[in-house]
Amino acid sequence: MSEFTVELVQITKTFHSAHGRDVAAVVDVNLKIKAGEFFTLLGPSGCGKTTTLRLIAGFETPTSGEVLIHGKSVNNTPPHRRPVNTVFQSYALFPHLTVEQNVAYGLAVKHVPVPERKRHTAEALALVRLTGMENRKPGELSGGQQQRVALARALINRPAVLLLDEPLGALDLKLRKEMQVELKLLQAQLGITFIYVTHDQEEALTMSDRIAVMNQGRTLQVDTPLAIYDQPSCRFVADFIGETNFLLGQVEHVENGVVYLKVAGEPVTVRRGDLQLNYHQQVALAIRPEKFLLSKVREMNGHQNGDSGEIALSGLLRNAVYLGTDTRYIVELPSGENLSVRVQNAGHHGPGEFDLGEQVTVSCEPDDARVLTD
Amino acid sequence: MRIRLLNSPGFYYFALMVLFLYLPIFLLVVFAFNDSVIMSFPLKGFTLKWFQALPQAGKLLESVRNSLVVGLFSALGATVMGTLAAIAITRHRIPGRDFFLAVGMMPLVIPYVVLGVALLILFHNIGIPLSLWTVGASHILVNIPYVMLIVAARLSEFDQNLEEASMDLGASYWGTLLRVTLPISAPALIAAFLACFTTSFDEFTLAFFLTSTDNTLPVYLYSQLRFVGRLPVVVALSALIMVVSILLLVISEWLRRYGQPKSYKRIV
Amino acid sequence: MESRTRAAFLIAPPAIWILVLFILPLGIMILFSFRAGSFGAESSVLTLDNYREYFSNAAFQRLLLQSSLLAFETAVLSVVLAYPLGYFLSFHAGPSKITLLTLLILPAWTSYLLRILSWRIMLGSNGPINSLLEMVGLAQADTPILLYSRTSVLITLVYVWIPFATLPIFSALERIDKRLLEASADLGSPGWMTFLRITLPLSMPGVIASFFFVFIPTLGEWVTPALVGGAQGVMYGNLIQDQFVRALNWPMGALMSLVMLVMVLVFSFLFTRMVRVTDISGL
Repeated sequence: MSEFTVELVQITKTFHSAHGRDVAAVVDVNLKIKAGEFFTLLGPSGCGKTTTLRLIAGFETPTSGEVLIHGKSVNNTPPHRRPVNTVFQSYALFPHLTVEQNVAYGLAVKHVPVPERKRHTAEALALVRLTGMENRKPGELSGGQQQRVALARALINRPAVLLLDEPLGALDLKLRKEMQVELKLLQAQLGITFIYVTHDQEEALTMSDRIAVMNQGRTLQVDTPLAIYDQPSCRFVADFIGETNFLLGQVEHVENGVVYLKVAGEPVTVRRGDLQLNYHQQVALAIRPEKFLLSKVREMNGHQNGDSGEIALSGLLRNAVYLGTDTRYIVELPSGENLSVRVQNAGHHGPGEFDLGEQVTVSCEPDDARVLTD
Repeated sequence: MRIRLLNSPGFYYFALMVLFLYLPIFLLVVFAFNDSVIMSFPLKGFTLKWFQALPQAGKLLESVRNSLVVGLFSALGATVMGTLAAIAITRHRIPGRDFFLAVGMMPLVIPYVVLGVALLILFHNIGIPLSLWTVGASHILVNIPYVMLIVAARLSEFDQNLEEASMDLGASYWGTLLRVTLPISAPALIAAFLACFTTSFDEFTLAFFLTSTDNTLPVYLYSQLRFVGRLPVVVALSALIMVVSILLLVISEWLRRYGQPKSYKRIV
Repeated sequence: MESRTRAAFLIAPPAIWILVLFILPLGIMILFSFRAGSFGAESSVLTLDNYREYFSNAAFQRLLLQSSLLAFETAVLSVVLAYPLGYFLSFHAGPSKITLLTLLILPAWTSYLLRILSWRIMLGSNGPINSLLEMVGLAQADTPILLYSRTSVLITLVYVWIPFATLPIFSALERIDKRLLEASADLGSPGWMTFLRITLPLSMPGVIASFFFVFIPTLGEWVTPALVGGAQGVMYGNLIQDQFVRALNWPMGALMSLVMLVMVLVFSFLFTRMVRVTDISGL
């Protein structure tokens, strides 16, 4: 018995289109999802996340590789025999059946006796707080209610894994936020493994235990939200999640775990991490806007000191936008690059702190900067 | 809106055309009540005797019964086959799909005289005697394209996720067809069935070539045309049937609209 | 079970039915046209006699040509008369358009034979039209002016086809994005010019479909000529029917049908070259 509920081993899925051009939707994906985990597949449209989900559900068969559920290969198992249930993006509620019949569908198919069916249905509806809606038809419900019926319909079967394909996409912002909290609580309460697909990185960050960031059919990074945010493994991840500044740098010198760069004309020292770096290699230095401190320009007295010195760059203040909680500044460096800086409006910090066109110094801790090669 | 309707010149043309189209039907109904064997003006007087003679017209009624039976069975057969084909085409990728479509649609345009001849020769060669069965079989063939068009239009409209959801919840493929696909397509199926029935009931050429002693109504009518005296009873029956067909078609159209909540642009 | 296998199971019954009752008979008909006789010993002999006889008979060719011409006229007239109906329904009928369309279609779905019969009565010597003309003095009793002629066949056929001819035209007109017409007016084009430059060309697929939809089946028409055509209004279809009912020369009948079939295939192919199915049906 495997410790992982769902495993994808070297999964590739290629679609053959009618015009003879093949589309590689999923390429060499390896995932190990643990029991009770809230696991999210995150990426832009067309990255392959929905296809990956459908491979687990059984609506697609992999071109190569294996899908394992509870340690057993399910490549040849049709969807109606897999211990997974799906909540579709369009909800896919049966229009010709009532809410009760929709929710009880999975039980009716298994010929569960009617009294037992009614009992489970009542429980499921109570779980999603829709008691009393039994005899309505899906067409009479609001979007949020339909979504919850779809949830109840899936959960009533007590699946080992629940697959959710962008379930909150059609809801308005406020409702979406509420549902995010509800889903998270539900998952914690039931202890079922959730595999969640979304393109909304904020949603992914708030709800997930672990996230797999995907692009063009490949998984780029699989990690906890914190690690993904603070230690993105590549440029795409850094750019896709939150906002990031990318500064061009050139490798000057590499030592034990430390790399010396020339960034915007200034020497910068940061941790090397796991990267293999060559001399004169072009790299990107990624720093999040909120990690910066902004101050009136100060003199640069020599270099940073070893690896505990802060990174400091000077430039012209080009723009200041008041955002309520913070102020967002754009600073133009002598190299022509623009930095985005976010400062919380607290204490004496505020939109009037600096004048446009002023010389300012932008500084941050070296550990807040990451070297990325792609 | 009404006033604008009446103001457009097209409306008068339309109204004229509708009158023109309904005139022969109207005339038939009028003459069905006319107390005269000869159908001409002036009208001779109101009578119900032609209608009253109907129950005695044994052969006539028999042909009506035959047409009903052939109509029902061939409509059933065509609806089943056409639906199977529609599901296969809209939900699966079959090699030779375009070829099947092209051939399957041919009975819509081919002159029935050619088809009648071909089938007559076939049955003769194989040794199958002509009967209502052969007529029914030919009707199924020519109705399959209609069913395909009507049902395929419905199938390609509704969310394919529904069938996936059903399988996700544990129903097998065939179970899904029974529980989800067919119930949702029901209005289209019924409309197709009614359309097939009406087509078969009125169909003449194929019935003419492929029938023997048992006639369908149109074939019987044709055989009676030289007997002028028998015409009024025939006309009375025709008037009756026309009214019933119109009613059936109104229901069929209403059902098809009820089953297609989106646009009405697909008219076949 | 894989998708392909399922599809095979689903398509098998209709495919077999079409194969056995459509493809096969047509094939046998082709073979039959080479037979020496309809029944008995003669029927196992294969010969080209029928072909020789057919192609040397000028009367057959003439009839085929005349019938095609009549079918062509029927189609043209039907389309021309139907276009304004479709236009009215699509552009002026507003929310009642479907109801009015149904009203138009209903007669077409009632018994074909009975409506032709009705026309025969109407045009006949004892019929209402003649009686009316008699009363006015334009006709004599027992001599129907309009019946039993090529004209009566044409009138009756057009009458039968107008509702069917309206459908593809209506469909095509409905499909036109009305904003294109607004753009045309915005750019200074008067109503009739917009029609000629924009509406008509865009509705062409529907017009062409309507034409072929009437033309091709009418090529083989025989019932209408039989009832209202008399000696003048005979069509090719009657010739075929005659081989099977009176002359009992099945091989010749098969050959005649084959010639018709080839014509139909040629015109059908021509049609597919001119219009794509997706332009008219939404499939």
